[in-house]
Amino acid sequence: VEEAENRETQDQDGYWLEDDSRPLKEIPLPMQGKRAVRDRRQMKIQIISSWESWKKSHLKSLKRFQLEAADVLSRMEVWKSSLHKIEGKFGTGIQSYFNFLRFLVMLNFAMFLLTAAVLVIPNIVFMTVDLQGWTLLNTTGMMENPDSKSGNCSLYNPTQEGLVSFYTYIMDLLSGTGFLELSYLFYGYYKDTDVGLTTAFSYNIPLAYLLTSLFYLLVSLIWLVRRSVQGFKLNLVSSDEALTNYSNKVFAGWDFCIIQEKATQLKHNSIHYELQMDLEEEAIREKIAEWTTRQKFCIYSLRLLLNLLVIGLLGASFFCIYIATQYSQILLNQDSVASSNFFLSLLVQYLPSIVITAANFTMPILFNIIIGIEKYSRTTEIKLTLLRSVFLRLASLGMLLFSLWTEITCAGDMDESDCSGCHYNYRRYPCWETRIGQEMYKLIIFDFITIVVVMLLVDFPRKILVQHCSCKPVQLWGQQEFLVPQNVLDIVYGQTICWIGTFYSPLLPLLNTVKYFIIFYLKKLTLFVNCRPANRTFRASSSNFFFLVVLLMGLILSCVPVLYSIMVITPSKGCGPFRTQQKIWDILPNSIEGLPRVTREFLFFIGSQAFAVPLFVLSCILLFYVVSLAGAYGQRVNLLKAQLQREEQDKHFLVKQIAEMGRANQKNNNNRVSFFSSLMKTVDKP
Amino acid sequence: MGQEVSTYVLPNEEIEEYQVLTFLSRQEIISFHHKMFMELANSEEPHHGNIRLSSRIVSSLPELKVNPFRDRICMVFADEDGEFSFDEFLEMMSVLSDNAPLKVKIEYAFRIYDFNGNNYIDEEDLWTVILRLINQNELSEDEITSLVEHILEEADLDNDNFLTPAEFENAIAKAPDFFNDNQERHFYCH
Repeated sequence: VEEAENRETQDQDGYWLEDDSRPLKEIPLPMQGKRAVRDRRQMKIQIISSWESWKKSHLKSLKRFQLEAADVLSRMEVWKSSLHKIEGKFGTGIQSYFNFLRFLVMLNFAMFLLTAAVLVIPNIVFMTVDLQGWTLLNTTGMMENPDSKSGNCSLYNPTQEGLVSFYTYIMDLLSGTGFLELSYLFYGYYKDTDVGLTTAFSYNIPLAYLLTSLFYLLVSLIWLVRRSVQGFKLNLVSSDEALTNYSNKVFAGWDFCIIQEKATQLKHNSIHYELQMDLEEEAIREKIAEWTTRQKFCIYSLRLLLNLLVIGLLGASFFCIYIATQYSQILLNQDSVASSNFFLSLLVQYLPSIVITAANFTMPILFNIIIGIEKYSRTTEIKLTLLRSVFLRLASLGMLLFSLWTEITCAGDMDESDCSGCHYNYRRYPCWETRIGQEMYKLIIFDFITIVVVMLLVDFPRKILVQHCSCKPVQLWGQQEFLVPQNVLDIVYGQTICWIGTFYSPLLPLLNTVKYFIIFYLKKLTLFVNCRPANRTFRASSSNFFFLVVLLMGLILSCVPVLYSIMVITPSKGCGPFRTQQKIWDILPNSIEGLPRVTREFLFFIGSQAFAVPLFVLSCILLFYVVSLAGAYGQRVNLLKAQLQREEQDKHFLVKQIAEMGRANQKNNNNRVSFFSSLMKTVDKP
Repeated sequence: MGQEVSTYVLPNEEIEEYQVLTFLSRQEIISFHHKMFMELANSEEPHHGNIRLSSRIVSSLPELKVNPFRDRICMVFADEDGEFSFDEFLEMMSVLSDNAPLKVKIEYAFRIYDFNGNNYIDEEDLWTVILRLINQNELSEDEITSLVEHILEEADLDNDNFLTPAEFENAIAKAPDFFNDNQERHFYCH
C-alpha cells in the first residue's frame, strides 16, 4: 500500500485520486490498495437523502442487469468458439474474414425473414384460404390502347407440357427454368392483385413487393455505413498512417491470445518479417525521393504505358463477356439447343458465368506481373492490385447487365421491330424480370460450384503433394497461404449478385444464406487442413475498413440496375405484380393517392424540388462546417505539441539554473534550499 | 466426499466483493478459483487465504506460457516477494479479460513494458521489447536503433528521449489495432 501511495503522488494524471466517481475496478492498484480506497471513500460519504440512495441502488441494479444481458447475448453469438479457435491459431487478420462472412450470413438471413413474412407467407395464405377478392388492381394510368401486335405482349406460358425427362429436371434446377420458373423463386409468379382482407383494409401485393426490395437495399446501406463509419473515424484520428505505424507494431504487436507454441514462433517470425519489411520500405522510399528527373520521366512514362495496357486488358475481357452473353441469349431462344446434348445446353446456359470467372482468374495474374514492373512501394503495390481486381470483378458484373439490357430493350431503340409493341423485346423475353433473376440465380450457383471445385481440386492436392513429395520445387512452392483479400473479393462478388437479383428473385437471400453458411465451414476446413499462416500478417484494422468500402461499392453498383428497371423500363405484361402498369415505380404515387389528404400533400412535398434543393444546400453547408472543424482541431493539435516541446525546454533551463544556484549557495540557510527543492518537485511533476 | 467439495467453495460475500473490485463475471471468478486450487496449487487448504503461488507456476498457465513478456507480467502483478495470492491472481486475470476498458490495459501495459523499473519507457526498455518480440530472429543493431528512433519520433512529444505514461497512452490510443468492434485481441485473453 505504501508503494501505491508513492505512486499516487508521482502519478501524472493525479485526477483519479480526488475523483471519487472513478469506479473501483479501474483504479490501477493491487487489490489491497483498492480496498483501502474503498474504505476511504465510505468514510467520506455523508448523509445522503433517501432520493439519492434510491437512485444509487437503482443505478447499481441497472448496471448489473446490463452486464447480465451482455453476458447472455455474447453467449448466444453464433460461431463464437470457431472464431476463437481461428484467432488463436491464425491471428486476428484471418479471423476478421470469418467475422465478415458471419455478418453477411446474418444480413441475408434477416432479409430472408423479412421477405418471407411480407411476401411469401401472405401469398401462400391467400392462396390456400382463397380469400374473397383476388380483385384485379384498379390502377390509374393503364396502358395506352395497344395496337394489334401487342396483343401478344401478355402471352407468357413457360410450363412444359407432356412428359418431362429426368435430365430436364436437373437442368431446370441448375438454370431456374421449367418448374422453378413459375414458383415463388422468381418475379413472374407473384400476382398483381390487391387482396381485400376486410372491407376497409386490403393487402396490396405489388406495393409490398416493391417496398420490400427497396427496404432491403436501404437496410443494407444503413448497416454498412454504420459499420464503416467507425473504421473511417479511425483513419481520420490517426493523422498520418505512416507515422503511427511503428509504435503500433511494437507495442500492440504481440497477439496475447496465441497459445500454441508452434504458432508463437511463427508470430515471432512474422513480427520480425514485418519490421524488416517496413525498414526496407522506408529505405526504398528514401531512394525514390532521390531519383533524378531523367529517371522519374522514364518511370512515369513506363507506368503510363502499363496503365494503358491494363485498361486494354480490361476492355478485352469486358468485350468477351458482352459477346458471350449475347451469344448465350441468342442460342437459348432457339429450341434446337434445348433438345440436344445435356452438357451442351448446360454450357450455353452458363456461358456468361464461365467467361466472367475465367476473366477473374486470369486477369489478376497478369496484374501481378504488371505491378512488379511498375516499381511502386510495397503498400502502394498491394493497394493498386486490389483496386484493379475489385474494379474487374464489379465491372464484369456491370458488363453482363449491360449486355442483358441491350437485349431486353433493343439497346434503347424503341422503334425496332421487336420492341415497338410492348416497349421491350417481348418476343424473346415475354417475362424479362424472371430472365434477369434466372441469370443471377445461375451466377450464384456457379460461383458456389467454383469455390467448392477450386478447394477440392487445387487446395487439397497441393497439401498432399507438399506433404508426400520432398522434391525441391514442390517444397519451394509450399503450402497454401490463406489470402484474405482474394477471399473477401469472392464473397463481396456473391453478395453483390444477391443484391442485384433480389428484386427479380425474392428468395435469393435465402439461397445466399445457405451458400455462405456452407462456405464458412468449407473455408474453415481448408484453413485448418491446408493452409499455413502468412508471412506478412494482414492487419485486421485496416482490412476491416477495406472490406466495408468494397462491399459499399458493390451495393452502389447493385442499386443502379434495380433502380433503372424500376423507374425506366416497362414491366412485362405477361407476368409479375406490375403487369398492368407503365412503370414499376407508378405503384407508389398510385397508392399515395389513396392516403388522407394531409399525408398525401406532405409526401408529395418531400418528393418535390422545393424540398430537395434546400436540403441539398443545407447538407453542403453542414459538410463544409464539419470539414473546417476537423481542420481547426488538427491545427490545435499541432499548436499543443509545439507548446509541450517549449515547456520541456523551459524545464531543462530551470533545472540547470537551480543546480547552479544550489552549488553557489551550498552553505546557505535551509529555507532557500528547501524552497528550491520544492520548486524542483513541482517542475518535475508534468 | 462432501467435505472435499465444500473446501473449494468461495463464500458469496467474497465473490460479490471481487465482482465490485475486478472486471470478472461471477462465473469467471468461480472458475479461476477452481483453477487456482485444482490445477496450480494442488492443495487441500480450506481457504485460499494461505495459498501462495510462485511466479514460476503462474507463468506455466497456457495463456502466459508462450508470451514473451510473461516475466514482466508476473512481476507487475505479484506482491513484493514475487508470489501470487488469490487477490493478485484475480487482478491479473481481470486486467487481461475482455471487460477491462482500454485505459486500464494501457496503464498496466506501460508498467509491463518498463523493464528497468524507472517509471519511464526509455531506449533501453524499447531495445528489450523489440528483442523480445523478434525472439530468435536477427535484426542488425542499426535496424533496431532506427526502429527505436522511429518509435521515439512518433510517440515522444516533448523530445526528452523517453516515454512518460501520458505519451505512451497517447501513442497507443491512436494505434488502430487497439480499437475494433470486432474485438481485436491485444492485451486480452479469454
